[in-house]
Amino acid sequence: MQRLETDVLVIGGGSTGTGVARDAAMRGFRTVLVEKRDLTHGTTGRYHGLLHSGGRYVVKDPESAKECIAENRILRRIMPHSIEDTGGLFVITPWDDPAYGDQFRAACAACGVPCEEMPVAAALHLEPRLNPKIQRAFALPDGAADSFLATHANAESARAYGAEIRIYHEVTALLLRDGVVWGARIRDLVRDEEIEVEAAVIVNAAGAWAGRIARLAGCEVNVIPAKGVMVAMNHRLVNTVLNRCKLPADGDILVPIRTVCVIGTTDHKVPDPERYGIEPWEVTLLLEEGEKLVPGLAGARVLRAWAGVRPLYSEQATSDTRDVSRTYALLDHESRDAMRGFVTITGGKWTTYRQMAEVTLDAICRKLGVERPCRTHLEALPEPQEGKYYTLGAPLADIESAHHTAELLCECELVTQDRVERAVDAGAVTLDDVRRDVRLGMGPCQGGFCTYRAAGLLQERRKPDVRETNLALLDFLQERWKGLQAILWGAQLHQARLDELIYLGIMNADHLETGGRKSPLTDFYFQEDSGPPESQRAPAGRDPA
Amino acid sequence: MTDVELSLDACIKCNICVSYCPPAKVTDLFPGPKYAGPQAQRFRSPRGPSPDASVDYCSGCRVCNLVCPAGVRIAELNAKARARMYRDRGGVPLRNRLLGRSELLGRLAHPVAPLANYLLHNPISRWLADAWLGIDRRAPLPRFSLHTFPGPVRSKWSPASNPRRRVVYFHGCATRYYEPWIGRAAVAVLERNGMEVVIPPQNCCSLPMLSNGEFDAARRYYDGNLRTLAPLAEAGCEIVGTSTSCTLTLKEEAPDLLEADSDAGRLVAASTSDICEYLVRLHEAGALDTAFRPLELSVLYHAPCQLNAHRVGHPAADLMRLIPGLTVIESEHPCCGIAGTYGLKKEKYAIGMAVGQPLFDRVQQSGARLSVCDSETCRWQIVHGTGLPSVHPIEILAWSYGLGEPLAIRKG
Amino acid sequence: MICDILVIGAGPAGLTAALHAASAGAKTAILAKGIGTTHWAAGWVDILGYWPPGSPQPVRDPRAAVGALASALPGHPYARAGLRALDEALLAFQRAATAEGIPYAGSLDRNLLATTPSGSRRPTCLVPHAMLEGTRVAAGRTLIVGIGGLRDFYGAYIAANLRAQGCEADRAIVEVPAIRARNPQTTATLAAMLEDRPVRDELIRAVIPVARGFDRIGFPAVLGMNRHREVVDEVGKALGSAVFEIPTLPPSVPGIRLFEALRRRLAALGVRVIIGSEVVQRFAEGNRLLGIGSEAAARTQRQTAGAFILATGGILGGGIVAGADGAVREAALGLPVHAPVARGAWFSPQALAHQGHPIFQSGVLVNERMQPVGPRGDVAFRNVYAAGAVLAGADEWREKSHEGVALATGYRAAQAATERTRPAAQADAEASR
Repeated sequence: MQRLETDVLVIGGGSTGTGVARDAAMRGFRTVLVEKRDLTHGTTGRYHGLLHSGGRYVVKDPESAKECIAENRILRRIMPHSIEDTGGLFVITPWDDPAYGDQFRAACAACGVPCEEMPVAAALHLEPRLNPKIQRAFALPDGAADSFLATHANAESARAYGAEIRIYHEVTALLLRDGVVWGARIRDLVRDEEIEVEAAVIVNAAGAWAGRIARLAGCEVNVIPAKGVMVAMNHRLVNTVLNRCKLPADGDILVPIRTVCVIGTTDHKVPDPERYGIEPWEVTLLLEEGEKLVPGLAGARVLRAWAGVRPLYSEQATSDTRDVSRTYALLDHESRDAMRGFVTITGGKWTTYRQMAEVTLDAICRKLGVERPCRTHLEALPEPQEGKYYTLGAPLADIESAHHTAELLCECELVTQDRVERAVDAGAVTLDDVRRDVRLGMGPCQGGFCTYRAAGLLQERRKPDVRETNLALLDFLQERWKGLQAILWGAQLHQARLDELIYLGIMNADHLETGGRKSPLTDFYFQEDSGPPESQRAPAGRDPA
Repeated sequence: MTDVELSLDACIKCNICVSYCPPAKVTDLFPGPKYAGPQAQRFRSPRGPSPDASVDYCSGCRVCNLVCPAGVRIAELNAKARARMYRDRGGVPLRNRLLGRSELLGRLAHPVAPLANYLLHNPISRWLADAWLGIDRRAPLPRFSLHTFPGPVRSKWSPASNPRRRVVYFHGCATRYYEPWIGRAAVAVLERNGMEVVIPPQNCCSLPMLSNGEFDAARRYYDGNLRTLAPLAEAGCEIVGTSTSCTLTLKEEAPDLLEADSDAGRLVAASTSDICEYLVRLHEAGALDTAFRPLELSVLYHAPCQLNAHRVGHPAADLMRLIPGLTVIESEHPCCGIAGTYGLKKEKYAIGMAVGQPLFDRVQQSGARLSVCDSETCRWQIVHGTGLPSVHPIEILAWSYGLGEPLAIRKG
Repeated sequence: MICDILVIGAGPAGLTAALHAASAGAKTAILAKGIGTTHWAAGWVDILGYWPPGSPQPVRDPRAAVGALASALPGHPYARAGLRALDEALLAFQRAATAEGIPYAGSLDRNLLATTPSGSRRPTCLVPHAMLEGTRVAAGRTLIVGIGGLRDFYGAYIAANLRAQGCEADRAIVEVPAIRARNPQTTATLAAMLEDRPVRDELIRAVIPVARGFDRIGFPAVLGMNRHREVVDEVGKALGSAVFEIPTLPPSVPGIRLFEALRRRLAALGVRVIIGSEVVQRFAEGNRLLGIGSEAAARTQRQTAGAFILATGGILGGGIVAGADGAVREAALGLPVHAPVARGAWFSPQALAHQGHPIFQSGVLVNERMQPVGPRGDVAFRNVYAAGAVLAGADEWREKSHEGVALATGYRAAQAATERTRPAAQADAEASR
């Protein structure tokens, strides 16, 4: 068994975990981060992309609002390559309480969130598809953030400061001795090996999975996995973040991000952060609400629906997850559970990930009796290789100038062959990892054309047992399918059938040789969702006569 | 009429448009309709600069729209992106402005037509226009006619007559300044069928401006036409044209591209027909004079892209098939390559000729004495590519009615 | 436009129906919204590849398997059209394809195992001659040649999967500077390029050094478009070994060749084909359809005919449209549709589930004369017939039955429609005599 020794072991490769790893490494600690799948595989990679101004929380959760606006300013400074300054509008529609407007403006002022009322005509000029029946509009500094890019930039920076980032490494046990968590046993899922890591401090940054990790040390952490469903529209119907000006509820934000816009979200407690379905009614609700912001939205093409699981933290169990504060919590298990060397950082939201890392490392410094100030807000993150692609038109302009139009493997998202090759060569394990790296398969055809191309490339470059490639292809088709079922009708259903023609009709993918295996790395995609209730199921009618 | 931008959502990336796109078949300067249309559109932001210039290599022939199984309005997406691209990148070039101003050029040049033709067509000025303006020196430019159509007499009509027997003739710039004989043939055929032909004052239909990225100017011309045509349509008159691109512009292109949805526009659009489309309707109603004299010859008929974009079939071919003795061979090729003013441009001339080559071969191998085509610029291109005469179908009809032989035949 | 039979749709079913209607002497026209599945599918003719659903073993004898299917599933389009229609349609198809210069090999008695672009060997019934050698890869040594710069074909993947199925296969990627320089976007462009002798010669020169010692050489299906035979012959001669084509991602060059061949055939029979116009209206009198309105610039264009054959396709062709509200419609004529009752029952949780997704089997129900019927068997319009994927009850991509269903039902629909219009046509003919 391989053994490692480090100062700080971070569990979880989402925004919080990579943020903690970066902060720890920048403060000079030897740092190891382990993630059981790919970076951003969990909640970070399943979020709508909103950089909060804080406006959403000014009335209900002022603490969160203040954290948001402070971090909003810092993130714009340290990661301009991962943020699009779309600006945000908070609008009062005919379905909202007009009195909320004044309360909202006063609360913004109290929290220090810049807020400027805008004439309705000006708002409509800015966003021509916005509902013309809105009564008031306020401009706030919301933005859109690419959480994949940002997380990779954090990981890159952490590596540059000496941290080790290990993906597909799952924690199987925490090693305890005399009230001290002194290490962790970890399984390398790709090599199928055990590793033991000894660490001065272990940071549980496992997000919605934090409760499970804490339990490995015998600590109870009440993290409520709160499922939020989001729906991406096929193209950007708006270019400004649109919020309903009211207390937060389902389907009240529309975020333009990259080539799509995302309507979000719902908020429902789920028992297991890995097993949940997307119900048709959730999608219907989101589209109906979206229609109130942008008339016609519900009739436009829906690309995909997915859910992220928020790690909401509460000391007591609760049923209404909307009432749980969006602020974060740092749990010192030494004072809380008499378990030394172990902290949990949970709750919060993407916008405040850096601050969460900062307070975590401040606490660690205090524990270890060293004084090393935080510098993560002072130093810009390295520009990711794909960073320049962030503005909407940039990939198109780039391909145009390089005349690379015939080298696009994913035509929908303009992903060139060499970018896919780089991702494959950098060790992407599944095609879904490639997707997170370069946006493969995230456009209208949802992998219809590029899954085959990426699988072909994988075979050419890595020359694995071909059954591995076949599995990678089938896994990715299934992964995409999971996000499609709930929204397949109209044009997207048309698309799905073309994709069936390609994989069943041309490729015979339903009879590809896999040696009867299923990939242990991707069984996740094949787990059955809860599915529709029995009452909605119709007898499968093959025989119409 | 559909929302052009929202139509991109119907694209399933199937590549059928790419495999039929005439320019994409012969050059990689145009990455293809799927790429430049629904795909690129997702990356164009009203706030950022226009990211792509290759969309300018779309010829606007609309073959993509026709073959698309999903109903994406690719050609219109491209036309809008082109206008935006010019706006972002220092405005519409002088060359495009000139090519877009067929009406203005005609008005200036026709009184001095021989001189203008000399100035326009001698090798030195063609070389200069090529070098300075980017109008290819080999490209088929028309010759101005000294006598314009309709002349002063025709624009009168009697308000007392029956509007059902009255037809408004939209002749377009080409008939007015270059080929007045087509207007005369059209009027003769309509009158032969008992129609009173009204020729109101009219502007350029605005298509040359739309396809050269000048939407603001196009809007002025289009509005000008609506002012004269809408009252006539209101009175129950049908509007017919001999230029398939002018009639298509009035029907669909101008209102869609300019996002000009008005009662007047809808009325004019609904009242406008290609002249052959109109005559086929008369025929189906049993009202067409079918006393055609036999024409013992064989013609190759090329249905221009602009006609196909009307989605009314090939009415000219249907009419010519009523003529005894006449053999009509259809070209079965989607595009001659000129696409209005596309093939005149220096950087696109070779593309246009390569697009047209299979059609030119077909014309020459068909054994036909002449080709027939509804669109003026296509006729000029086909003559340029084949050396054989080309006439408008209305000239064939007039000839068969005994109302005069086509000029191209008399000359040739 | 006035004709005896108006076929709506230009996919394999519509083309087949028009061919038979026109051959039977009816004045026939085709009206289609756009180009259909010919341009996507591999270009071979599937009859029945796997049966029963989920069977890991391919069907060996499609005639027998279709017979078994028809008795097990009386609502399946094959059961409606009958085995005889399939047999006759297939023979007629082979004759037409041969006459237009793209002969197809195979017969209804025996499936072939074609080489797919994944390398999985797949049952199909007829293949174009240029794909025949790809059904013989179990014996001898096969080289798969990829072309540098073509993103729709992966030789390494094909060869590796062929090896996993016990075949001896290798691959090579050749660089052809003329192709790299031209940057072709699709296989269709590449196929047209290879009709230029210099480009073709460059390809041949690049392949010769790697081709030694192989019994057959597989290429992506780009060996020429209009002059396909000439290209295949020349490449084969120059390499001195058997040459075959393997399908690619869409657009399908073999499919385009097939479409164009059938279109030429139709043109010769005087069939007018109008592409780019969608049916948006119907004009009916009682249970007789008088005409339809097709979408045109600024108007609805009225088309009348004695009989109509609906061949608009299923969800993929756009003939069946399913909305967010769970409503499933037949798009052109508003005919009754057989579909799962609620959206919750449209899909299986697994993308490639063998039992398929019920929504994709929705469509129009027909009687033995291919006339669309309502749930109680009542005929919707007595002069309307339906064919192809618009019919309910087949999952052509899992069964591998797409072209077979199109041919059999298109043939049968045309037969029924011409029986109907023949008396009128004969009367006309007699009157004019």
